Parts: sequence; C-alpha cells; structure tokens
Amino acid sequence: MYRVGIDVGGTFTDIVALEEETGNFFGAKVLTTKEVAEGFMQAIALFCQHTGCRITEISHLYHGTTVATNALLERKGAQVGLLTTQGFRDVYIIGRMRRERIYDLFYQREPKLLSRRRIREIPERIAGTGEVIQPVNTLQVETIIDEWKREGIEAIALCFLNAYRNDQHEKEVGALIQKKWPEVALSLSSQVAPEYREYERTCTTVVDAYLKPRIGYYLSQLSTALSKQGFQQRFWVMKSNGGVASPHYIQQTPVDTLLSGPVAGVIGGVFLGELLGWKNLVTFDMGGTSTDVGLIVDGEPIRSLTLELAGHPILTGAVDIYTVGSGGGSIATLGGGKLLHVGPASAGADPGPACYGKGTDPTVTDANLLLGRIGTRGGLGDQIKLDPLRAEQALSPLAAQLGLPLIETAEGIVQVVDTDMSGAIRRMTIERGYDPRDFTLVAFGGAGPLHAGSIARHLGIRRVVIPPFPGTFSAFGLLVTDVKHDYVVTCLTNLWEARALDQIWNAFLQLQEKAQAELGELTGYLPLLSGDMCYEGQGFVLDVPLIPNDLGNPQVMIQKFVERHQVAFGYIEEENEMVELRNLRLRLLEKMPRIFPRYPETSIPDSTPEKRSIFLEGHWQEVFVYQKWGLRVEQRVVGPAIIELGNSTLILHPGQIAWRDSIGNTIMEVEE
Amino acid sequence: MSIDPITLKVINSYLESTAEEIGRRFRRSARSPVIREVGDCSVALCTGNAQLIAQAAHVPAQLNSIPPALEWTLREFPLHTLAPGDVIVTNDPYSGAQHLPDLIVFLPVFVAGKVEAIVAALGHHIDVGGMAASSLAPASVEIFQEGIRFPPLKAYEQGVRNETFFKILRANSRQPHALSNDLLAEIAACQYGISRLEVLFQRYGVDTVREAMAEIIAHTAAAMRQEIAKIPDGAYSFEDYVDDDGGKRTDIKIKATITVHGSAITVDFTGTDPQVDGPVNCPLGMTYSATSYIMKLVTDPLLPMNAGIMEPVTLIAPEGSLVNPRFPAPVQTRMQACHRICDVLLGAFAQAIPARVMAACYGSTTIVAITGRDLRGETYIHNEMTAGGMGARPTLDGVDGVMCHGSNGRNVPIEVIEALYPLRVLRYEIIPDSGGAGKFRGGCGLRRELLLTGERARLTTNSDRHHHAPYGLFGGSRGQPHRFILTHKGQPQVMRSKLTNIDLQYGDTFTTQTAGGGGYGDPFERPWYLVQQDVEEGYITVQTAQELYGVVFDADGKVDQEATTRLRKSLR
Repeated sequence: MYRVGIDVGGTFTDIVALEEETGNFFGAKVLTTKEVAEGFMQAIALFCQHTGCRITEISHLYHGTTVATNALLERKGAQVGLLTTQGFRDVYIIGRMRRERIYDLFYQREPKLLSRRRIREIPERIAGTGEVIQPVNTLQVETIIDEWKREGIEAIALCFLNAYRNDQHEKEVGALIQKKWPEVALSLSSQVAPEYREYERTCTTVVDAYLKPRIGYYLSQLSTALSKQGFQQRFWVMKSNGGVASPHYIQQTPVDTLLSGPVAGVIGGVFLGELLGWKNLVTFDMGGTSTDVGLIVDGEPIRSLTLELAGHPILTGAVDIYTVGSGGGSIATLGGGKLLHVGPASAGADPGPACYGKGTDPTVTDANLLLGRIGTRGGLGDQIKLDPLRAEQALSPLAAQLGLPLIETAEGIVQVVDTDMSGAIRRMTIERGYDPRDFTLVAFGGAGPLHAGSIARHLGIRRVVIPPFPGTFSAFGLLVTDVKHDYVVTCLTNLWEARALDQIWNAFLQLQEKAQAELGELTGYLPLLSGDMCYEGQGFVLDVPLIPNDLGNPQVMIQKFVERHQVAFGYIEEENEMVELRNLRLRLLEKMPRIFPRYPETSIPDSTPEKRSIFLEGHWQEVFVYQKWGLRVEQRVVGPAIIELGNSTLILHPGQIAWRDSIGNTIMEVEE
Repeated sequence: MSIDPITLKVINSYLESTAEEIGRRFRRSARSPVIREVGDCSVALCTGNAQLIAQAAHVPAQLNSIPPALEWTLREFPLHTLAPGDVIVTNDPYSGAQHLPDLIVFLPVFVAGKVEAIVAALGHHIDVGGMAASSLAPASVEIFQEGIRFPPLKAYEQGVRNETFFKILRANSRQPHALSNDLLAEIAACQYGISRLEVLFQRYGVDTVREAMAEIIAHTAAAMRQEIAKIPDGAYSFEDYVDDDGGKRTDIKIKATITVHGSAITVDFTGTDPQVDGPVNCPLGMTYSATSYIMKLVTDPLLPMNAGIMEPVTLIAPEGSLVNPRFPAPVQTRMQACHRICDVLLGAFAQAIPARVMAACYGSTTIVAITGRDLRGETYIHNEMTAGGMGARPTLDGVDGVMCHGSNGRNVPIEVIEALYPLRVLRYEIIPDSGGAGKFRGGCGLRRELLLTGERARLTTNSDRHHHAPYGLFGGSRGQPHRFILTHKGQPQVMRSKLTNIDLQYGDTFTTQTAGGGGYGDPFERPWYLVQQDVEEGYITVQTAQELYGVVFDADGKVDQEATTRLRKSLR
C-alpha cells in the first residue's frame, strides 16, 4: 500500500508517494491543468504507471492545493452578497481607514471582492455584552433572497455585529436562507471566525463565501474522478494550520486552505528535523515567483492567528508563513535614489528568464547564470539549454544605468535577493525573539539551494540541510503529517476575577462538545490546549500553550502568559496580574505511523568532478562541480565548490563544507 | 562616492526594516486603543548628527518632526554627555516636540564608546493631564492647560529608571497605568532597535555605515533637486482658512508662497495670520513636517524618506505666526493647521504642476473623546478619529473615508468599543453626495453615530472644516463640510467643531459627519457611465447626478443619453 501526496501549484502538480511496507519513494511533476482535477488524475496515472500498482493500492491520499489562494489572488471566485447589521453596510468598504502608502498621490484601496450594491442591511442588533437589543426582521431577508436569486448571486456571507459573542441571529438568518435557497453557498461569521473586530471578521467571512462554490466544485470533481477510478480510501486536504481535513469539512470552510500549498513544506521540515534530531529549523522554499519562509521551534511550527493576502486580513489559524514576492524568475529594476530592486514583477514560467530564450527582462536566474552559479544545462530538468548571451543582453541596460560592470551588476542582483530573503527570515526569527544562529536552514524549491549558502552566512546560520528531492519536498510534507482537528471557543475571561474558574470550565466543556459533535468519541486523539491571552486592555493576544491542569489554576495561566510576553515583547508589566483569556483552543491530534523513505539508488560511480569558473565574493574562481549522487556517503566537499542536485544547485562558499548523508540529504556546515 | 550601490541598498533596507520592526513591536504590545488600534505612533532612525535616515511609514505628521525635536534635545544633552542605557524623553512643543500627549523617546546607539545613531519613537499617549480627558482641550488658551509638559529629560540614566519622572508622570494622568505601560512598550521596542543597529555596525564597520548613511541622504537630496528642476520656475501663492481657534477667533488665514528657482525651492508662509489664543497654533516642528510630507508627495513617493528630502528646500515661517507660535501659546489641536498647510501647499503647486496634486481632502483631524465611569466604577476614556473623503486626483477619484495627509490612524473597531465602554455605535457609513463633483469625484465623507448607554459622561471634540469646505480644482466643486450633531431627548442640535467637556446624558447620541474631498476637473466631463455607476453604488443620488453632473436618468433608473447631452450643452 502507498501513501500518496499531491501538491497542486500554479505551474506544476507534484506527486510523491511512499510505500508503507518498504518506504520506497516515488516523486514526479506534471504541468498543472486548467481543470485542476485533470492534472491531479494525470499525476496519479503517472504514479501507477511507474510503480505498476493500481489506484486501490493507495491507502491515504493527501492533497495540498493553491486553488483557493489563486482564486483569491486572481479574483476568480464567486459572486458574493453580504448581509450585515443595519447601519453598518460600509464596514467592509471603509476597512480600518488607514492608507498603506502614505506618500502615494495615486493611492487606492486594494479592490474588494464585492461592490457596495451587493451589501445589504438587516434590522437586528446584539449588544457588546451579547444580549439581543433588536430581533431579526426575517421578512426583509426573504425579499433580499428573491432579489439576489435574480441577480445571479452564488454565495452569501453573513456578518452581524457582535456575533462573535452571540451567534443567535446569524444562525436564525442562516437557517432561513438554507430553507429558502438550499443551493446557495453560505458562510456565517460566527462559524468562520468567531473573534472580535468586525472588519477583519467580515473580510474573513466574505473570502470564505467567495471561495466556497469554486472549492466545492473542485473537490467534488476530484472525488468523482477518484471514485470513478475505484479509489475508496481516505482522502485528506491540507489546511493552512498544518492539520488536514476531509473534503466535506473543507467545502464548509474553504478559507482554512489559503496556505494549503506552502504549509506542507513546513510540515516536511518538521519531519526532516525529527529524522535528523534537530528541533529548531527555518524552512526556506524558494520557487520561481515567490519564496515561503516557515519557522519550527522545538519541533513545532510557529502558528499565527491571522494572515493577510492581497490586502484581505483573514482571521484563520495558520502555520506562520512569510511570503516574499521574489524568486528565481523575479525581475531586477532600478528605483528612486538609484537603488536596485528585485521583484515583485516576475518573468514567471512564460516567458521565463531571458536565458530561457523568450524573455528580455533581467531576472535572478540570468544573474546566476552569468556568475557561473548555474550551468548552461540547468533549466527545468535539463530540458532547456540556457543561453548566457541572452542573459547578458538582458542585464546590460541595467548595468549601464548603475554604472557598474556587467558581472558586478549580476552579483548585485543576487546580493539584493539574498538580503531580501535574509530580511524575510529575520522577520520570522529575530522579530519573534528567536536567534537565527540557533536554527538549521532547510532549503528547497528550485532556487532554494542556490541561495541558501549565502543567506546562511548573512544570518550566521551554521547548518543548512537540503532534502533529497528539493523540487518536490513540499509535496513530501503531505505524507508525513498527522491528522489534526482544531476547535476554538471565545470566552473573554478576566483571569484575576473569582468567577474566572467557572468561565474557563464552561468554555472547556463547550470545546469538548464541539469536538464530539464532529468526531464522536475523543479517545485516541492527543489533545493540545492553548489560550489566546493578553493584559487587560491590550489589543493583540499571545498564543499561550496550556495543559488541562492549568485550567483549574488561573494563577498558573497568568504566569505562563507573562513568560511568553517577556520573550515576545521584551518587557512585562510590573505587578500587573490583570490578564485576560480571550479564546480557548483545542487541537486534537491523530498520530499517523511514520514511514521512513528509501530513495532509489541513482549512483553515478566515481564520476570525476568537472571544473567551472564562478564569480564568488568579488572575483572569478575555478571550482569543482560535483554531482550529488556521484558523491560517496559522508564524502566531504570543501567550499568554494558547486554540487549539482538534479533539478537544483548548491553553492558552497569558502569556509563551508558539505556532504551527502545516508538517507539522501545534503548537509552543509560552516567549517570549524 | 566610495560605497557601491549594492551595499548602499542593503544598508538602506536594513535601516527601513528595523524602523518597521520597532513600530510593529510597539503597537502589538501597547494597551491603549489609540496606539494599538489607531496606530498613532511613529518610529525614526537618525544619524549621530541628528539627521533622519529611515522611518517606519506610519503617521506623516509625526514622522518628519522627530529630527527637529532631536536637534533641540541634543542642545540640552550634547552627544558626548550621553551614556549607553540612557533614554531621553520629551513632549515639549517648545523644545521641538508636537503636542503634549505625544511622548518622544530618544535612545543613543553606542559603538566603541561613541554615539553612531539614535533610535527614536513617538507615541500619542492616552492622557497626560490637562483640562479635559485625553489631554484634548480646544478651549485652552495657554499650554499650561493642556497637560504636564517636560523638556528633554532622562527617563533612564545608564539603564536605571528615573522613578521620580515616572511618579510625576503617573500622578498627572487620568490613566496612569495605561500611560506608564505604553511608555515602557515604546522604550522596549526602541531598545530592540538598538540591538539591531549594533549588528549592522558590527557587520559593515562603523566607517562604512556612517558613510553609507551620508550617501543615502546625499543621493536622496540629489534626486530631490532633479525633481524640483522639473517644476516650472516661478512664484505660486495660495491661501485657505482654519475655521476657528476653539474660542472667539474665526477664519484664520494660512498663506504660502512657493518660489521655484532651478533645483531650489523656497516655501514662505509670510502673510499667514499671527498666532491665536486657542490651540490651533502649529509649532515649527510640525510646519516643517507637513512641508516635507508635501514635497515628497508631489515629487517621487518612492524616494527614501530622510534628511535629503528637505535639503533643497528653504522654509520661512515667521515667528509669532500661526505656523511658528511663541511660548506659551497652546498647540494641542495643531493638526487642523497641519491639514491646512498641506491644502495650501497643494493649492500653490496646482498652479505649477497640475498633474502632481490633489484637490483638498477632508482636511481635519476629527476626534471625539468621551470620558465617564464604566460599570465597575472606573474611569474610561474613549477617543476616536474619523476620516473623510480624499480629494480627487488628476486621473483618479478621491478615496472614500480614508485618512489623508498628516493623519494615518485606524478606526477603533465597533466591537472593541462596545466590549470596553458603555457606548454603542448606531451607524458607520459613507455619506452619499458628500464628495465634491468633478471629472474626478472627491471621496465621500463618513457618518459615525455614538449612543451613550452608561450614566453621565463628558464629551470633548476637535475638528475643523465645518465652515470652510474642502476646495475643488480646475472646475471641480467643494466637498461637503464636516458636521457634529448632538441629539438629546430626540432633539438634534448642530454643534460647533471644537467642544470642551460637554455633558452627555444616558441615551444621548453624538453624530460625526466628516467632509468629502474636493472634485478635480469639470463634472460635465465625467463620462455618463461613471456617473451611473456612482448612482448604482450609492455614492451619489440621482438628483446630484442631474444637478451637478448634468446626467439625466429615466423612470427605470437608466441614463437617458440624449437628454444628458442636451442638458450638459444647455448648462454650459
């Protein structure tokens, strides 16, 4: 039997598989198709063909997808109508009033997912305390439903003021809509994101509704295609928080899958760390147009409670991933004050970097080629021969503007990228109070290994690990995840007050009820508790891990919060025990048995390394170019050198040393 | 010119991201809504000789005023007298600061025993005393009524906290706890900034970083001179008015003459009215700040924000005038003058570079502060700002309900207000027809209505452009002005813009209506389909479409194109 992971990205659909009994590994890429399910099934067919097994021999199928992300970024979601409390139609339009670019004469808001006429008000009101001030006028709801049916609305978002405190009205109106119009997709703010701040909650609910018809269609297409082929086993979709859920669940809250694609790479990093015995890792997934950075502390990915995509703040628990809008295909330009910029514009897959033969803009890949950091055979799995002349032509105008020689311009581009990437990693580490020097860098994606060495030096990171197949590593992460179910209850408790104990206990019971309603018996799951806590009056919460015993002792909860506060912000409030518990969270973990991969032996016996000129640290040097699979296990390669990894390249700087370990990873360290 | 452009970029990015990081830390750990929700705070990094080198892009009016305050501070505490661990704090407008609630801190960065940089932050704190809650007192006539004032002094000396200072500070605030903790958050965020800068100096060496800073500023100044050279030579004047000073004085004139000569520019406020009794006086630091904001706005917004921006600019602000008042004039509501300075400068630039300006924005920092006792019997202060419409641009409509020019706060979420205070928000919406008509429409203003659900409270406000509505450009009309309405026992009453300690009773509502931005260009040139879209989306009414835009709708709500053409011709 096989465990199979399929990661659908914008350009490629990656498939990886592990045979459960032997750990045998399979990995491949196919092009993502317009009907995404098609490419998905092609990938499975390819897997069956290569391994000679049938689809029924897949025991678990895991799926990471950027369908939701791309639908949002490319604005290809549903026609949404928003129902809200009377008097508050414009909450969604106004946002938080702030402008992001203060000196921009031509500033405009990020476009909304629906226009103002699609926002309708309902007479109803719940107070800040949760008490009902004005009941719902359901008659009005029915009129609006009729109009929206005529106007071609496909999904309805429902967000009433203070529904995070009392969901009665949303439930009432939701039930009415379902009765009158069962086909329409429906999202309730009290279910999607039961947290305060009406603008952010509205945005989250609108995004959820916007994605729902498309994700629903996509997942049902997939399920149909799979069952047609005879697949009857468990099929899981990766969520932004690193957990997985059934397609049925995802169809109800698609907003939970916005990071479904990149998060698998972080989960893969956790597994790799377990395997190697390292608990603190930075995952660095550098692709063609963007780069995702994740952080693993003490064996667990760092999570955040909100994320922001294309100007939409979204309240959804997510593995904290910082995305930089630049990668191997990013274009270099000259900005104001004569400063060199790289990205966010990208040559993408089409036309691609200039050296691929079609584009004319100078990209990071062109710079790498001119510097000798990648070989001319390096493009897309040796399919394309790279053309240095075209790269030169692309970079020349920029060099002229800068008044620098061509080669220094190329080096400059690479340095700017490295700085931006280091900045991203710094944001994920130092800004959260972690020292990057205590971390191992896990570099993958097509361009990750190429830049890892220099980034490690920037940040003082002493060890880099590159997984066996860096190009499909993100998909690999799908195979090594546990099944996680998450629940949250808002409790707004002042921990210093006497009644706190009862309130916490009630919240905990509610959490359990919610979980039982979905999963039935809860034995067999590992429970993980945490609280969103802050000093009274603070606006942003800290996520504080708790154990069940803490719930009986608010003093201990306060203490744990204060310790987190010191780490996160560098100070604590003296003699202040006024700490609030805003939400209580429960994660139920179903541990999946681990499979240890065995990679196919692709030994190239004793190949003699070639030599190549590379521009490194300001001058040309002749260095050896090794083939990774041509190296003996543990054979040391001393920098400066190049190791070709198949679809990627690792650059060793002077003072760095690397080898292949027995399970196929490439490890690079600073020479002692 | 010995540092290569790459190192320059790396150092510049490092400085900018450091400033952003400090700002984020400050906001996330602060407790008062005015900082954590509104984000009324700023961060700047300065060179050892008090030149701005990088800033976090938060609130423009505050940002560019940090260097003058630092200059002043260094007169009191010359660099060589400072030691590691020192934290200097000031809020004194007559020592370069802004107004009393804005606490500016300066932390020196030492490398090898010398100050090589200074980390600065400014937070608008919840209350530093004075005659009304939130230290907002439009009725004041001397700075002494506005709260506790301290010239630059050491809050920490070599890492040891100055307990006397903190005691006095707390004793003078209505919210001592929030104030001192927010100040701790501000200082802790800056301390983190120091450690980041130390790494930078270590990595590249002091000489390189010092030189890079000088070069970044020099590059910016050179780019700025190139930009100014593109502006036609000549003298351009404009004037506009602040409604009143909160007391009896009305129609206070601000006048500016911009003289462009090659790559140099002089901004001269001669002709501006003398300082007034009420607190709309604008301290020099803020006049400087507003001017540098406009210089960047009308030239290249992508230029790094540093001392180079103002290098080619000569600023003349007559002493004793509204834009450079003498001690002890009150200055608390100086933002009204700041907005007007922006409007006046843009009006002058419109004559020279019409494609690089916008019509007047809503032009007021409109604050409502309510204080009373909550259910636990404790004093609460709710303080919120409401934005209005942005002025229309040469190619774009103004944005509806967005912070403009010197201001850039967020709103306080309704659910936060209702969770914390005995207040309920009754509506929060865009006001149709409030944006000035034009080929490009001014942004619409907002309406926000608050209901007092608790016992007796006191209300203080600060606003302007209730009488002098935001101007339009090149045929565009004015936006609708601001308005305050107090409804007591069902009786609505229009209130003046600056109120101090008005009594509110249970059940009273207070409505804020903010101004719309001015229009740009002749409204008859606006394509009918855009007018139709505005009607469908509810930004203008059918009546306005007809009266101001000359667009006629038939009984089915569709545009009658023939009638429109006829009407537009006949009205010309």
